[in-house]
Amino acid sequence: MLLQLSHIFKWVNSGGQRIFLLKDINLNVAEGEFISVMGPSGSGKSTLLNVIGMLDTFDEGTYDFLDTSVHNLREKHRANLYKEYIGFVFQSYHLLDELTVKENLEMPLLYKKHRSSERKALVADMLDRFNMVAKKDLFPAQLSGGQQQLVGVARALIASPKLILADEPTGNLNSEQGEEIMEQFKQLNNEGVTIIQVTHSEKNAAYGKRIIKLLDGRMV
Amino acid sequence: MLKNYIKIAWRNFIRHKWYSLLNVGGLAIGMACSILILLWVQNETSYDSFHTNADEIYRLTADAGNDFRAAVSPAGMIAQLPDEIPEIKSSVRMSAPFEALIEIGDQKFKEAPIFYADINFLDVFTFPLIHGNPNTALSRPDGLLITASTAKKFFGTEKALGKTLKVDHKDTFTVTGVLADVPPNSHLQFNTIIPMTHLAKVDNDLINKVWDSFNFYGYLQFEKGSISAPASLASAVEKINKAYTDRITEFEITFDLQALKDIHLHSDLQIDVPGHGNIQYVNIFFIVAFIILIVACINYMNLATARSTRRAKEVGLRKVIGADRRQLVLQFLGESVLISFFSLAIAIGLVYLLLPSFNDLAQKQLVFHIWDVGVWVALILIALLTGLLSGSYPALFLSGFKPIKVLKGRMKLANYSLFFRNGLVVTQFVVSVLLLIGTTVIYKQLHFIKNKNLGFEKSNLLYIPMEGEIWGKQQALKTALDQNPLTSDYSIVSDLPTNLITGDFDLQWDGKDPNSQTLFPNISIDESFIDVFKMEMLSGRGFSKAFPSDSINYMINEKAAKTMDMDIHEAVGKSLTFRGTKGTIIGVLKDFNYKPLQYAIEPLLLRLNRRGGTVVVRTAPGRTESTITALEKIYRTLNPSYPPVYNFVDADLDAQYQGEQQMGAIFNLFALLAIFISCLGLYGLSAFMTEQRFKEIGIRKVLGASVLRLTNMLSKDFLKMVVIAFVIAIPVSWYLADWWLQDYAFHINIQWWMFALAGFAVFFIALTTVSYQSIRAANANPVKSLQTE
Repeated sequence: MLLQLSHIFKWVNSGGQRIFLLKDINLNVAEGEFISVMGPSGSGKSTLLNVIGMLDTFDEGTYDFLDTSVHNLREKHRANLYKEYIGFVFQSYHLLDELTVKENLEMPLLYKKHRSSERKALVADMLDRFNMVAKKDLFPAQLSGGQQQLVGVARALIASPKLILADEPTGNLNSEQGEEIMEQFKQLNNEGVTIIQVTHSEKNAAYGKRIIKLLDGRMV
Repeated sequence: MLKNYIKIAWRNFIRHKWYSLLNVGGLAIGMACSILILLWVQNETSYDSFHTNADEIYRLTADAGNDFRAAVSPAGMIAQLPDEIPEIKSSVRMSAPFEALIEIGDQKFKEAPIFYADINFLDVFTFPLIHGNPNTALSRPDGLLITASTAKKFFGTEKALGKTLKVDHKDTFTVTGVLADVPPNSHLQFNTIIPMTHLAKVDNDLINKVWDSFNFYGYLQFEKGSISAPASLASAVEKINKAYTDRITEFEITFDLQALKDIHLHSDLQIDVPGHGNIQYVNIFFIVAFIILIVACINYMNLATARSTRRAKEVGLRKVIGADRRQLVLQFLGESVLISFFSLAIAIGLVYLLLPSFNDLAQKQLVFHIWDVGVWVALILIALLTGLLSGSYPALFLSGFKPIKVLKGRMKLANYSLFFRNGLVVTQFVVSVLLLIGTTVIYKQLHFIKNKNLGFEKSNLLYIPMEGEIWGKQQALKTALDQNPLTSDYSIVSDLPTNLITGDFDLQWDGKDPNSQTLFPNISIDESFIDVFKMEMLSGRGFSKAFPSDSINYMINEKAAKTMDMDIHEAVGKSLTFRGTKGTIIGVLKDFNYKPLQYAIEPLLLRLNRRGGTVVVRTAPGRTESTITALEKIYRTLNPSYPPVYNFVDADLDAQYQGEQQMGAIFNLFALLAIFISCLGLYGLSAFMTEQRFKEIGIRKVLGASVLRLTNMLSKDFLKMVVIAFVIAIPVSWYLADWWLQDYAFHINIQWWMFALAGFAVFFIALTTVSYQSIRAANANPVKSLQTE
């Protein structure tokens, strides 16, 4: 089992009222799964993804990730955990504008203190794999949205995470570009990477092996 | 990793050129100012430290009470102290600096300053001899030392050593040594040194080894280590005072020792060698240098945090990808240090560019020794300090962002960070207001000094000192002056009433408290003095040829009457004994300033001139040129060997405040620069603030807000800060200005309009800077700003 959420609650207090963002979420994810999370705006999809990614906290319940109790961890240890095992893909790519494709890919490795030769090899692998060798010295602004998101995916992948969390990865892309990203995800999944994606599109959701539907913070 | 940081920093730098320019420009100007000021401060504090024995040499000073402390001491006392006090290794006497005519063959030079110095002058002080034997150079009474550039002036490329020259048209000297030019940071400035043994043939002080006449500068060299402790210094001073009181009982004088290295900056003594500095200015400028650097740092902080929304995404992303806070802090600090070093490079260029003009302004010969290790260390320290200081707040602020918040849409700045940033802006404004008020006060005070009514009319007064044969031809001189209508309005005085350095205790009057001693400066004048200087009599009459007995009569000033406890009118007719000569007070003069305005007016005794001194001529307006020609002609006829040198009393008076004028000019310059740097920051800040409110401006405009209202709304926040800063700055500046003005016995009063002016100026500057941005934003098409969301 990769991760296990049980009875997760998250709320905010607003005007004396408690508004639930997540309500009694129970979710087990095994290694190698490909899960699509769906639901209308405001149903808590992104919040759930952030909780899983340990970027956000929750108020009640337990969360075990690879036999570690996340709910008992201090923030710093939590950060270390997600840095090691989780890769993030964002709807608006979030590439650093000042860095080239190659440098953007290299950045996570810098923080993990890989040696220079090792970094170069890994970056070269990724460029190769995503067919971006020719674009390695371009800046994000010089790429199309689809290409930028490919860099985003490659960057999430470069430190070989066990889990990739993608928050509407195709939300800013046209259908053709979106499909390409989805194909990449499918292939990654086939290679054994666990993927959880949030999506609005039925078609993209269908790439997942399992679909979770959320409504008002609750799994339905 | 480092490479990555530098890359990011560099690309950010290039991409936001305008922003970078503001940042680097502000920092570079700030650093350049600080470097210039620090060079100046370094120079001012380095005076006389080049002497090998600098730490063992002290100057003997005399305190006569009544705030009269002088740099001079008695000739006999200086010479005999080493014999009586074992700690004192040796002593050197220096005369007052003077000007002399030097003749080499047919060539004539007016040379100044020249000193008489004791034989061991070269042993005690470190003035290296280029040619000649340091052990014997001063041993002949008819030998003299000249400096290298003087030698060049006198003899060109020829060897100066052994050449003869004539001083003041009578004594022939042989050049026994050529000195290296005196370093600019020496309080003793001279181009010729004549042995004291020469003067000893004629000077009564030296012949009689007197202990009660104060005419020489006395430098005492102590045994190494004998007075390094404050207690041993105090005991040495005590021994010196005892040696004096054992001999002299009639005048109470307290002697003190002044460290050689303190003379330049800490000497507020009277009768001192000219050209000393002021520790107050050194302190003020040191603080100003620091303030300018702080202002530049605040600029950086403000711009960096204002721009933080742009960098927030990067922070969030780096955190998600694996950076921890420490790494981010390092990254941003590194960035600011990088920018700071970049600015330093530009600042160094600026310093090279500006140093000549700065030297002109400060009347200095500062050199920027870039390859000196100490300079490097100082520069690197400045850059590091600036970088770390200016980077600290942005680094801590930016690295604290929560990734989830910044990656999702716009984040709002926390209130405390706004508070902090506003605090920084207020600080900048406070500094600006302070500096502006300082500028105004200094300007007004200097203006006041220049234009104060001194009690006589200082303009159109031409003077020419008596020299050479003139001394013996005074009657002929008077006749010649009388005959020419251009020069007939003249007076012969012993000293100019601009910076009188005489003083005497030997004054008796009826009812004088036998225990009190009061120092009476005195001046010898002639019958026309009051008319020529246009002074005012309060009672009695001036000296007159109609009263032959006037030669033993006296005039006094108002203050003297007060000191002697006499009414102005009753004083006339009372008797007064000066140096044993009993006479009558015939008139009381209205007080006039006969010393620089730092000093209050002291009691003054005026005697009838019998010896001559300086001829002062009042020129008719517009006839100055022809008067000079007439005067020169008279002098040339009577005294052909001396080239006549004339001067103006008002120019002399102005020259007395030259130091003050320079300081004022430097202060104003740096104050303006500090304000300019603040404006750069303000401009950048307002640009970013406006940018942040771009959408709000669009909405307001669509809903019907006018451009004026929008501009008003955007500028209001800044102007509020100006008002707060103004309120803070008032008491601080009042206190500081008052402290500075206390140095002058005669000074302006601080007035409300000075504050109002500074406040208004800063308000206006801020408004102009900010409203440019505001108006631009308010005029933008609202559709654009609303589309982007």
